[in-house]
Amino acid sequence: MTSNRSSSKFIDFGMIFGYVRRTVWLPTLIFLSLFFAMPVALALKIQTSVVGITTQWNALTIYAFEPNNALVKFIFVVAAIVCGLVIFSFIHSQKKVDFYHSLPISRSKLFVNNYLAGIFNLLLPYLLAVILSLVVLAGNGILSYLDWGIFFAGIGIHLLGYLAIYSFVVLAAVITGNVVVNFLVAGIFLGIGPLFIGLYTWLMNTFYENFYGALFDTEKLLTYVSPLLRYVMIDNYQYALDWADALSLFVFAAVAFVLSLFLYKKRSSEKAGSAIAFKWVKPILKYPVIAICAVGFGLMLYEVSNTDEGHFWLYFGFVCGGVISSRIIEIIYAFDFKAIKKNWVSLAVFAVVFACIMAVPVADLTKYDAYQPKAEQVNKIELDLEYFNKFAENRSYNFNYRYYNDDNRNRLIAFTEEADIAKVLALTAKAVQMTEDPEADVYHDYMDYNWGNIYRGSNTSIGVIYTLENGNKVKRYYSYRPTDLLMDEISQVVDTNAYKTQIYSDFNKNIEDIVIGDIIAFEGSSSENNFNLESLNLIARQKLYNTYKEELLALDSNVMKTTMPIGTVEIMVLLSPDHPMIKGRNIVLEKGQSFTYSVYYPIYPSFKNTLKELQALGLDLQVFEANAENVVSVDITDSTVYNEAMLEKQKALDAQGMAGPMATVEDKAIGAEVKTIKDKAEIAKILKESYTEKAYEYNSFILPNNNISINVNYISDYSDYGATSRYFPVKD
Amino acid sequence: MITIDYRSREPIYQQIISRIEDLAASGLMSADEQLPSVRSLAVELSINPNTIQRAYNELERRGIIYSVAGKGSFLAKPSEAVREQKQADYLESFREQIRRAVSLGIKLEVLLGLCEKYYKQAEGGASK
Amino acid sequence: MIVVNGVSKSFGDILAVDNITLDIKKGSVFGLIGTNGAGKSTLLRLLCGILAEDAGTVTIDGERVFENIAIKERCFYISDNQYFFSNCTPNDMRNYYADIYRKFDKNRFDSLLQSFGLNPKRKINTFSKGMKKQVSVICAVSAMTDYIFCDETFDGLDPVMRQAVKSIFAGDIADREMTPIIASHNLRELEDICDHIGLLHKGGMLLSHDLEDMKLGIHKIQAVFNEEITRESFPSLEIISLDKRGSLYTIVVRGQEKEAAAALNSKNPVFMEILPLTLEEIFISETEVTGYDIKSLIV
Repeated sequence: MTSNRSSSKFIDFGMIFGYVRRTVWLPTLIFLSLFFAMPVALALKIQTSVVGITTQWNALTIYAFEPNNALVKFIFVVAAIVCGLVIFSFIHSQKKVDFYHSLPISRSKLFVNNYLAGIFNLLLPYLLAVILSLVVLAGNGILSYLDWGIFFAGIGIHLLGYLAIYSFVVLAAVITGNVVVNFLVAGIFLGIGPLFIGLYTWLMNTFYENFYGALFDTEKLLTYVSPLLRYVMIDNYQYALDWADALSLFVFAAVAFVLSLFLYKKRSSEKAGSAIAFKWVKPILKYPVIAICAVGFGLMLYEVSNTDEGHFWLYFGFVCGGVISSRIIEIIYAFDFKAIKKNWVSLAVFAVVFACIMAVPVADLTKYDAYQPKAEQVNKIELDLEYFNKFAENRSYNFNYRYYNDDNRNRLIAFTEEADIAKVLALTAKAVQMTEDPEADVYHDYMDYNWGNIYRGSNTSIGVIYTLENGNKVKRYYSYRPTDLLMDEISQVVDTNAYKTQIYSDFNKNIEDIVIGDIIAFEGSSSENNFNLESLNLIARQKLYNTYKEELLALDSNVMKTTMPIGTVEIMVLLSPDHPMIKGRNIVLEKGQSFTYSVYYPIYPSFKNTLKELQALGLDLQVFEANAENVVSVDITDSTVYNEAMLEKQKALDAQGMAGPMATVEDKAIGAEVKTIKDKAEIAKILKESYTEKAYEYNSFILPNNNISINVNYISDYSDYGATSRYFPVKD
Repeated sequence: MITIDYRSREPIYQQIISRIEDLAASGLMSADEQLPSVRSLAVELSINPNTIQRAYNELERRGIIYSVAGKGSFLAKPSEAVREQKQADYLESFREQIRRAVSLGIKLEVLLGLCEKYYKQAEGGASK
Repeated sequence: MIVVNGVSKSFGDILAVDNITLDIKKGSVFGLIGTNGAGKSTLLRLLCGILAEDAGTVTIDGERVFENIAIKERCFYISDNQYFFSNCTPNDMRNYYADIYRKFDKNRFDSLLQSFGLNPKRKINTFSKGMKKQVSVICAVSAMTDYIFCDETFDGLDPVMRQAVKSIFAGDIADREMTPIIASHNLRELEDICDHIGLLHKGGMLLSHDLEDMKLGIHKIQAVFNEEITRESFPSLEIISLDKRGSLYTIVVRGQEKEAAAALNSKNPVFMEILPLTLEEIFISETEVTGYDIKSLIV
């Protein structure tokens, strides 16, 4: 009797299902976990959810399948690692290798069929769980709400994520000869990229004051260097398939697969049981791990130690981390403790190379922090004045009466004109100068550990990207420089046309998409100070808008230094249905509905034309003035003496390298001076000379004097006078 | 019919040849009688068929057996030359025996007497 | 025919197989002996395509074995430490092999299993070591391959089983020129069944001879002479060793039996007996000549 089946086909499903059958506990376990994570969890969620509007059903039905599902991701990651380890464990056992490699099956066929078995191990239980979840949906009558696009996208992403991680575990299996080492090497493959990036930023942050960490875009970079992170960090707010994710996961999987196949064919059968199957792999894995351990340990000790003592602990950590990790690796490679004596010479050579590389940040060989380019070298500068004009970056999104704030958009303002560049360089030059001056930045902020307050002086952090003539980009970040010391330079920059047109970027939208919403005064109660323009006709509103726009763009820092704004204008911008904020949320627009976001820009008393038009539209300009009418009393708390004493104390403690200040009983006794004023005339004067907390948010040039807090007490208990806290402006 | 002694120092190949020769000489197998096939003998004795093949080849060379293509091997008619050869071999070993007897101190008369006795016994047995 | 030409294989620093050259003709039975660590298993693994040679070539009928599926289909390897899928039965193994070896004979497998008294549906991991070997052998012969590589397969079978397996092999060798290559460190075992013996020591091949030729070409003669006898007494003979204990001389001579006997007879020995040598004795004698103290190597 002859049997012809397997010899002819390369991908032999009989063989594959044989493998699956023989380790059937694996897909069974996977199915059990997916069963609870998908159909059961889905059923529970449906039971406990409130019957609501369409969008909720959309989000609900997609729950078990979407790319964001963290539970499924977790299961898939574990499954990928376990499947990889189990399926290819046969090449780690001499017995099994002898068996399989003596059979008339080519290495390629053996590899590919085992590889596919690992995929089927997951695919079958997953498909079953998917079907059951669909059944759950159908049973609850909500199957029709399912977005099939995201359904397939989710399944695709999860499978690709599994594939990518699994392939690297398989690659590790082919390279090693033992299951424990397999696991460790897989860990290296999946984690070494992120570790490198983490350590790099840590290193840079430690030795370079002016390292631009934020712009390093760590999160994005992390997803490029590890398939694990790429998959796990998928958190598309839009719930839509990001083709970049799918493609990168596929590339990870493909590269690992091809490498594994190639190496498997070259692998010697007798390496089963040894640690690493290819000699040349040993240094490739060894040195990066040693480097990471050395750097990590060194930085850790340096961080924990008193860094003023010089770099002793740093070097000590380098040496310890490097030596210990290298010895451990040698022992693991040889499976023999005596291997602790091996390869000292190459370690020494490596140490020299390492020292040379580390010398760059540790000894600041490149004078990183002092970098300041010459104007001729610079083609373009992108600037981020953090905390300055913050109001221009806040957007409030409005969907179906639900509001979502996006406060964290860091905007880079680009300057290409020579004159502008010179002004920015003046600013950065001064910021660089302050790097070496410890006095300049630290003591504008301090924290009172006893009263629990942070007395914040006003600081600005400056991020800058220089694009040089030769095409290179250099990035620096000057953190917490005191604004008052940089005021002149900042004014120069802020007054440029380039800055204004970019910071008020919403002005660049089409006129059809922009409309003025509310006018809000800083003074007065919330019912009084809100002037709604939506009922006005469009033409009037657009005229107002144009007038306002002109006057805001003409606003000079000189004005801002001497006058406070009196209120804000709400600018509403229409979102197109293609906007990612809408698209991904799978929201269906009702008739007449629109989605907008709002920004709030300031109005200054100098905006004469705008104010005139508002008056013509019926707005009483008195709304902008502080009203002492309903005020009963004003409490003024003056903590200047206390604050300054604590500041001195902190300076002293900092000089000794200690944290503080710890307020003593005597300190607290100094306390704060509290005055209550009931005289109407005096109250009026105080109200006139101070401004609401909110007002200061809209003018970064005038700082509130935080030492004196003014509390205004109104008649009514149910006061809707929101702005009861006021401050005097700091005067030079 | 053909057996071998696994423990004997004598090579199996030799044993087979000797055994078949003995069968032929003693008349237990008659001329033109078919010998067991190489295969069946190998399986029966659990030995290498090549060894048996070799033995058969040697026997054929000595003229003790002949083979017919497709049919097998058969015992040849005993030829005088073969017989004489066997007798000569036997007498040689007989000489050895006498030598040993001398060294053991056995008297000639004893030997001669036993010789006669044993010869008559064997003759009688053989003719039965 | 298997041709091994100048093959070497190292594991790290250890040279397991050192420049070995030998032929194995189809239909012969090749015995591979040596102590543990001599390289027997390594050589077998090279022959059946598990390992790739570092130097030299291993070919069957002119084609290199490694990764050659067509050639490997004609080979079956029985490891000294066999692997069976966990919780599988003989039937499972039968079905698995039947998918892989084209000529696998399921009926033969079933009947052999039955005659060996093994239950086809019982889990193999409950079998004794000897029974597991039997299953392996049954798989091997049912696969109807031209070559079977046995690594210490006979060691560990009981005498009845050993005979049974030898019979089966004998039948296959006669029927279809099956060629077993048997590694063992038990010379007694190999003596009865092998045509050809190769002795490995520390990775090198010390000897490779046809067994019968070996036996016919070397003799041990015990004799008592009246005179003092030395090697020079028989200049025409190639004397391998000459020992005297009391008055008994034990002389090992290479050459034809008749010439040796004649030469010795010329000295009129009081007593003379010519004994065939066992394989063990042959090796000891042969290798004493080459300078290895083999007494310590042979089981």
